[in-house]
Amino acid sequence: MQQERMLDVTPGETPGEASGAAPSVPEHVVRRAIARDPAAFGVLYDAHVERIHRHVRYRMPDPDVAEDITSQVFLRAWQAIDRYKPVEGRPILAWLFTIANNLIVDHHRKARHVMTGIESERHAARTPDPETEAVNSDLNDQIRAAINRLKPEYQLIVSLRLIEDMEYDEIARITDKKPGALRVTLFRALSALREDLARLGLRP
Amino acid sequence: MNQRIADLLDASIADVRAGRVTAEQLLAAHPAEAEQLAPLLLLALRLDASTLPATDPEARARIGRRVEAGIAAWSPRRPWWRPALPHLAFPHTTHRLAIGALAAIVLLFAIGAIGIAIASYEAAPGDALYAIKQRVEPVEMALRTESNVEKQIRLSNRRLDEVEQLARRGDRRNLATAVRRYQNAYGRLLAAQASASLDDAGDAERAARLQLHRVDELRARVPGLGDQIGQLVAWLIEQSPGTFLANAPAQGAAEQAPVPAATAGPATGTATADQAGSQAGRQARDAKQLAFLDLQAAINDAERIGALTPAQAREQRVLFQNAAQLGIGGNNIAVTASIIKLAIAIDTCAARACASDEEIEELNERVMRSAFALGIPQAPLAARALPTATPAPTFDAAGTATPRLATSAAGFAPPAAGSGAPTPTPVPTRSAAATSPGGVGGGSGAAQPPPVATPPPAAAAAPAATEPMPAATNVPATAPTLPPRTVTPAAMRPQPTPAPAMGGATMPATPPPGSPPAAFGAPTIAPSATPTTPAATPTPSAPVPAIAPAPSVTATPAPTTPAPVPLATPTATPTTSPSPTPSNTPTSTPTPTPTPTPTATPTQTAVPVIDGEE
Repeated sequence: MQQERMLDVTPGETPGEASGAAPSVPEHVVRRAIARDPAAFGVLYDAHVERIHRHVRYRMPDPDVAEDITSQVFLRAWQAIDRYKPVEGRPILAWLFTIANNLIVDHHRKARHVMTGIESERHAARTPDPETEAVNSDLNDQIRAAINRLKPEYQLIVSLRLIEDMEYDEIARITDKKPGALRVTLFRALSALREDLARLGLRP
Repeated sequence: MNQRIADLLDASIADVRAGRVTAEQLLAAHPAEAEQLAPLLLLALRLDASTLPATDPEARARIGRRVEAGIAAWSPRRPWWRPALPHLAFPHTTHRLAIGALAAIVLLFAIGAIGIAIASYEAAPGDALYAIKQRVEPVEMALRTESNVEKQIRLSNRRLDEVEQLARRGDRRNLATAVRRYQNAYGRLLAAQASASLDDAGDAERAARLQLHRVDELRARVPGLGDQIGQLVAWLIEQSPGTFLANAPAQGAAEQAPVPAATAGPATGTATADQAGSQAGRQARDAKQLAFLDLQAAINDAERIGALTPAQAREQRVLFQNAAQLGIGGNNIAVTASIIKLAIAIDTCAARACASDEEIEELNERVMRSAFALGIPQAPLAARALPTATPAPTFDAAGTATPRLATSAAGFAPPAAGSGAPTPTPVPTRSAAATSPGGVGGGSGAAQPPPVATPPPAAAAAPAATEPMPAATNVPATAPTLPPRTVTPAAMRPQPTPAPAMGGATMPATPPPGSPPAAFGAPTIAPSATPTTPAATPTPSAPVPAIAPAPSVTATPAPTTPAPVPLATPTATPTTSPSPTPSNTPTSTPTPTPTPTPTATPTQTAVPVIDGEE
């Protein structure tokens, strides 16, 4: 039932996939979604699920975990939508990214708790294994794998700034950091990424 | 350093992506940083959405199903403070400010309202805040968990506060309002007391007594308003059951003879009604209280004429007051001793001729009467040559310039006549009428002092006025001043006075003995009530009322029926007729009893009443 309603609203509104531009959801739909209108929320979901999922995938190499977190993002959004404040210049996408970021951080924290004993082992696992990596002939896969190995902070800035092409103001709100600091973070993230790729003998 | 390169890198990425420059051009423009910048720029330019294949439809469908399932299962667990409808919440800061401001305003108003309510507590009629006080008070009372009596005590005290406040301000106009309100509150207090538990009734009684004292004190403090306050005192005394009056400020009220007269009139009705409803037990109690009142009066007089020193007088006053409060009677040795002491003091004084015979006589008579009422054996007193109980002219000291409150209330208040003065002061013997069965002398009379409601038949006075009697003439003069309201006093405080024992005349209810006591008419006669002429034939018929404007007790002839109304008691209501000459007979007014029942037919043995003693 609800799925049908969602689908009813969605046709033709799916965002362009590769384009970084956020599909705009009409304001009145957002307002209806805030009033917990499932159909309106379905529109929001369809408009943003691709990008959220992509963002999560960049940071969660495990596809199952990525799917799980992505659905969690929208569930959390639905539960807390009355707390969303449609402030000027802050599209709901940014809010969804904030939720996603929080969930990812939580996930890492839990994982770290679980893994305390085998931290070193895990670290070792993250260092690229030339042989396995070489199997991935596709450079894009290599790069994505390298991004997944970055620190969460670097993952976030790379994903939001370079992949999602978001403005620093937006990112600043999501991460609660200043744009200047974010630029430095991006610089360091790129440096780390380059080093990681260089170790694999890759030069993008 | 890092910051500069980071900014440069970021700007470069944006420029190249936007197609404004090529990577080569850009690096060429920044040769110094080119080496560091180049690899990062190239890497960054490779990273875009295309790095990752689009979400495959299956994955997307899975996510969609999970979200929908989650939404379907979700039920709003709404905190109590969050409105059910989300859009009613005020999520914005501005709205929060508005709510805060609103709350602040409401709070201010609340504080203001409470402040006003508190401020209005002190308000008196005529004040701006009094209207608020009147509205707040019912709410306050509704919230109090007090008994009705306690509430009425509280309210009447407040009304009295207002009276005091206005009296101090000298606000005569509003004072009248305040007094009226206080009277209403006092009436409610009495009503509440009547149906209260023993404890509460006691509280009410104490409160009423205290209030009476407060009013009396107030009267002394604000001489300018003495009339208004004085009227209130008289009214209070009239209204209150005898027991309340144990400590009545008899002395204090003395000065205002005229006042009570005015007030007494209107009150009569209620007073009599009260009386009618009183019961035997209460009568007995009242009688005792009245006896103590009488004693207090006697002490006052004794002190005035020098029979007692002020210290002695005070001592006795306190003793009797306490006795009255405790309900002690003649079986108490201290009381008995004190009465004897008083009697002896009077005798001693008489030996010195400290006062006129009449005065002494009256004093003695009063003491005797009190002793009798209290059940004190007569033996100790017998030694003293006391005439048999004379009909009590009661308080009003005929001669004394100061009519006492009690009397005044009764309406007797004789104008201050020189004691010795020939002017016959009408001495109403109200007492006789009521109960008194034969007083001491009269065997018939039961001892019951508390006269029933029957108002004293003071009719006599009236006739006197009309009478041609020379002396009488004076009377009328005074009489007129006093309206006929007379009855009330009697009702209120029945005098235990025994019927005048005319030569042992029987006290039993006598139809109005028309015979005017010589006293009135005769100038010589002391006010003391000695029943002189028993106008045996009471011609009830003669409607006195017409005649007399006399202050005489006779109540308004309302109960026209001349028949003396003997209440249950056969007591005759002998009216005191002032006329010196018995001739007045026609005058004998039937005493109007407050009780409408004129039942008493004159047939009863008529006891001529008398007053003036010769």
